[in-house]
Amino acid sequence: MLEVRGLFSGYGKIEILHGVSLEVKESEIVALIGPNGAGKSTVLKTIVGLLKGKGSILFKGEEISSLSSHILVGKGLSYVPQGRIVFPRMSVLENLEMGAYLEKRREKIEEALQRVYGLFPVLKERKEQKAATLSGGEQQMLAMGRALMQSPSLLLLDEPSLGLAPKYVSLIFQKILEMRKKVTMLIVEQNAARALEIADRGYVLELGQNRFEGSGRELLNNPEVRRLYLGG
Amino acid sequence: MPVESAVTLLQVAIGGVLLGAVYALLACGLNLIFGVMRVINVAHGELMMLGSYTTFWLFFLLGINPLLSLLFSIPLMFLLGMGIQKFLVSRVVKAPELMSLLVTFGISMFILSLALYFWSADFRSVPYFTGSITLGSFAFSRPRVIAFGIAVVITLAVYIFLKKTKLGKAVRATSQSSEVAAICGVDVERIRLLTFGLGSALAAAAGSLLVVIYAVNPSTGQTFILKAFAIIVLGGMGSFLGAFIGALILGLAEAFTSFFFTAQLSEAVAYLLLILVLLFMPSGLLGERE
Ligand SMILES: Nc1ncnc2c1ncn2[C@@H]1O[C@H](COP(=O)(O)OP(=O)(O)OP(=O)(O)O)[C@@H](O)[C@H]1O
Ligand SMILES: [Mg+2]
Repeated sequence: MLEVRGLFSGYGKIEILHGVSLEVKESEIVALIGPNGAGKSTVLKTIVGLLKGKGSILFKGEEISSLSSHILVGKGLSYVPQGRIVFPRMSVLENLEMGAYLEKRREKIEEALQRVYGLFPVLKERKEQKAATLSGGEQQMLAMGRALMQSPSLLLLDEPSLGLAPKYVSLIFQKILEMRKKVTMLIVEQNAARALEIADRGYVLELGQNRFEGSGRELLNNPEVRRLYLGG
Repeated sequence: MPVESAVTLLQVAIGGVLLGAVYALLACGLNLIFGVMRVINVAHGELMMLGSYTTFWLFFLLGINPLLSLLFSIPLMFLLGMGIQKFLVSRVVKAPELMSLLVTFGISMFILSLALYFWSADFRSVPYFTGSITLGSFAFSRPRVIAFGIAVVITLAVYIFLKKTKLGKAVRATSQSSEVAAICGVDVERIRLLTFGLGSALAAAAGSLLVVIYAVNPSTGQTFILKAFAIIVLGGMGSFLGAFIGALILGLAEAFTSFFFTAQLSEAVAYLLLILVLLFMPSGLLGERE
């Protein structure tokens, strides 16, 4: 579904990624882990077209590396940025409707909305509330719900559990498991052990380069990965 | 308090609100552009001035009703605004904010010098509406009431557009986070173009209405842009509604200052407000606090 080959990218003149490769197959969960500053977010931002990189990005067989973000959404590629970014001065409902911006048919939007409310009932309870007034965990759910409004075939999740209270961390992981039936996911996570537990496969990134890769279990059991990234 | 003086004060207040609505048109446009682009359009006053001259010349040469000339000045400045965004501002929107400030400052000076060259520094006005409307013991200048009415209608229409329509929501979304708007499928470049056009169209409307109540020359834009700066700081940077409220407050403050002191001093009120707000309420009345 997604194939990234030899990706170079960065900010202005600073190159951060020095030839990253990875692959996500249909209905997989793939984890992308690595230390702070390894370039994980940069990988996702480049895939979704917020940063321009060099190298090849194939999505459903199509080369997408030169396409803009707003075009990619329409192709079924959705992204939840790091830091639970929502439209703070819009209501929860308006945020979700913005997710379905490209959908013209009202009944499709309604359908997607019911699906998102089904997964995250708390968003329904708070639909009239301004997004800025939600708790951190609720904002993360809103950001995920906004992406799911696009009924994506591939969802890129950047640090969905970062900075959340423990009860929300478990809840978010539980929701990711519920989502796996419907959508393929590439997940960047600080909480590496937990991400690898639910992932089919994983990649370890370091200093903008691939370091390890393998099935979730292999990486969890790899002594070097354990020592470096899983705390023992 | 004697009844007459209460009536007089109310009359002064209403005069302030009437003028404030025209300020609101100008300031709302400026704040809309700032909100979406993070660019302070220094040329906004000149766009307003061009609106005034469009109305003036259409009246002077062809005798066209100034309200009808809104139908020319608004689309004209909408196009000019889009052109400024497309060919000039969009090139520096990612650069440090000082760059866009300098670019729009350059545009402002360019338009101003051309206007002075072609149209001289003479003051012009469009004395189309005259007389006053009396309501009991109140009397209001007819042109001001008309300008007020149109200004309120236009501001309200834009406000409803922003709140209720899909495109309007995309404008607001872009101003809150352009990256997230993009990953929602919004073509952010197009929204910026639209916003610059819309903001400029509001400036044009302000100009067309201003020349009906006020004598205008090419430098008028400069006087008014400074008032508009004060208004958006007062109302809150980036907030459309804030700019509207701020404009009414400035209109009132100016009206009372010229009533109790002198008209000259009323010019200073905007700057006094500006400094006070910056010192004591830096994010303004409805400022964005994320
Ligand atoms: N907007 C930016 N401008 C310049 N440099 C940036 C920018 N964003 C990130 N960087 C730099 O790029 C490098 C990689 O950042 P990135 O956010 O991709 O790391 P990450 O692996 O996601 O880290 P984290 O776990 O902290 O989120 C870092 O050195 C960072 O300082
Ligand atoms: Mg990151």
